[in-house]
Amino acid sequence: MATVEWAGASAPVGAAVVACSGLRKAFGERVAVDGVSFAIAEGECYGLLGPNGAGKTTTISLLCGLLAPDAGEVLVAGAALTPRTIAPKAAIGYVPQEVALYPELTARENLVFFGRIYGLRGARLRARAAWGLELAGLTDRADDKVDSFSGGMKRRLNIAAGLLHEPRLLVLDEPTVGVDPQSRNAILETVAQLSAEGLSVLYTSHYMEEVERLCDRVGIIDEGRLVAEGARHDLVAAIGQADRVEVAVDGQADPLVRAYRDLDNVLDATAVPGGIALNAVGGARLLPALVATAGSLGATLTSVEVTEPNLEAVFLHLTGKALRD
Amino acid sequence: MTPTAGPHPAAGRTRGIQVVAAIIRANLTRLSRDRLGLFFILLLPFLIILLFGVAAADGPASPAVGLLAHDDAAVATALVDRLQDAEELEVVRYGDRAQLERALRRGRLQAAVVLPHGLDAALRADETVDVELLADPSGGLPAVARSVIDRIVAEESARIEAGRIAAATSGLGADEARAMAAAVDRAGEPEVVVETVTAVADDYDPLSQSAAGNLVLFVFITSLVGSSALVETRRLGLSRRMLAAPTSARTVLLGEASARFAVALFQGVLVVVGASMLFGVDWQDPLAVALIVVLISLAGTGAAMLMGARFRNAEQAATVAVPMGIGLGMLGGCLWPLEIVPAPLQAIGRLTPHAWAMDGLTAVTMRGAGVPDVLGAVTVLGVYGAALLAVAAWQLRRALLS
Repeated sequence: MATVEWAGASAPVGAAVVACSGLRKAFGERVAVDGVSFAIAEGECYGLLGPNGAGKTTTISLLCGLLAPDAGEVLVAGAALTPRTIAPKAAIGYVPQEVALYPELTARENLVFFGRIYGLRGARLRARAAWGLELAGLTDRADDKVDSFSGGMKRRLNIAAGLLHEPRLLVLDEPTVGVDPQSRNAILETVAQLSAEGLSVLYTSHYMEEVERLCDRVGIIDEGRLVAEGARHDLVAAIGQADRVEVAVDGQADPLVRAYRDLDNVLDATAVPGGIALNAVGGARLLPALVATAGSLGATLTSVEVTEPNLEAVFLHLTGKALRD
Repeated sequence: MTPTAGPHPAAGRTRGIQVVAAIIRANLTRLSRDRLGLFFILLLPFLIILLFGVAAADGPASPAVGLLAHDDAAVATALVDRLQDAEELEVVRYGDRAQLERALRRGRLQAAVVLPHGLDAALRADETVDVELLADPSGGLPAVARSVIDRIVAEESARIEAGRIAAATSGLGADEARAMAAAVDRAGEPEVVVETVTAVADDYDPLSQSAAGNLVLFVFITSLVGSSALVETRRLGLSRRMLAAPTSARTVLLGEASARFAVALFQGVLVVVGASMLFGVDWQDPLAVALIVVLISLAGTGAAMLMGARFRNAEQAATVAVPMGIGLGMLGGCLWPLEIVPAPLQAIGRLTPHAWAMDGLTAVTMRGAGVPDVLGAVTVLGVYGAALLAVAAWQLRRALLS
């Protein structure tokens, strides 16, 4: 497996809502989490990206105090969190991968139940349950039993149940698994909105697009180890992969291919049907030079498409396998 | 929405009580929407008690009576003929005692008469002869059967006596007459004693036995069936979600156990009150009965929690719960008195909490025992409850936190 040195990617612990360091957890001979460290700052959306079985859920279980680590520690707002500690858990809203709701109870009864579990009561409990129903878009189905809901409705209610007590950190474990595209989009929009409002989010997924869309920083986890961490563009830049730039040319392509090869940051240029394909570092920044060079040779660019390497490429580069292997 | 620091209006113990109450409430609401569960709790126990009650109150028109005659001499033959001719009885002949007892245990017979070996010889020797009358322990001995059998045996006894007097005063052979006279002189009136053998105490009351048996049986079955809801709570990730909240694992376990205990206790109280109101069962000492109901409910709760910790899915738990509940009830003497089964099975039955609960309940309801009299059974039952709950809590905690 490829290794890359990552410098200074984690948020400073002092400003972190949650910080874990050196987390290790083994189940018998199998090491599920091995030396994982990261921190999530106030208002930050942090993605934990990895294939199934990479250790995401175990990491979340350690972070939420559901499992005791064999080594390492979790600090929530500066306070140590273990399965035996209680108070720090109030800062976390945990949304498990499963739809953890009572199917026989109504949407409102479920929210009221979890509100009570988190210590809410009276008028405040009722108000927060009503808020949760609204967030899930289920106000008009409040008194219907959960087992009559679609998968997407259940997922939205599942998220609302984790937010009733107004946590500082929302932990979402693969919240879109088994959800139709429309509901998936609704969930992603909700998470984005919550994050924009200042809620810290830990979002785990094996869907690269979701993490790219939502997260300020990403930790890539594989076989229990955090193999890379940072902002998306930093991760991509760090693996040294070039952007792919495709231009459609009105005019002679061959002279332009030769001219483009001479430009700084262009690694390669080849003629393709209808235009030219380039591999370049910082493809978007090259656009003025590409246009000017074409103009100087009497050619016109009719379209330009820049494709940056994505997290899938990063994961492939780091682990030698695809995210969904 | 504006996320803020997590507020915690309730604190400490109050908060724990609130969590426990929320878990109990959620579980009871779930149960109230489970039609099959409600049928088991509310209707089935009374249907079964009703069946036993009707049987005990009325009995069959012609009770089936098994007859086993080890002797084919004159008196025995006369008794057999008289019994077979009795219109009030439906007599079935058996050649083997084991078969006869099996038929009795399985309810094919309401009673059985066993004429012993050497009945004639014994009578001629002026000895007392025991004719065994065995009763079906679960249904009791129908009055009509007892009456008819008593009458026939008494009449035959009188004939024997009359024959003896005739012999003494007739011109029979001197030796025979002397022997008869001597016998009469030595022993006074010969007698045939009908000994009712039910293998249970004389104060056996089938309705009380049935009510007590169904109480213990259904408290346990209801508890075990309820384990499927706990498995579902685990499988759906609800338990993990609760444990992620600012509450201790102990509080969550206490909530789940309390919910199951509440249902088991409700089942017990329902059978006690229902059997009393519907069938007139006299439970005698309310305190002793309450103590036993609480303890068997605790044992049932522990067993349910253990199943809830060990089974992987609700269907598996629900499938096993009813047969296991009935099996334990059979072993523990809920369906028939433990005393009538062979010794090895009795010993196995004593390994179930049911047996000790039945010991206590039958002592209270049939022999008027109070709390001090059933302390032994209550103590064993308490140990069962505590042990099951402790093991279940350990297993469930492991299942949730691993």
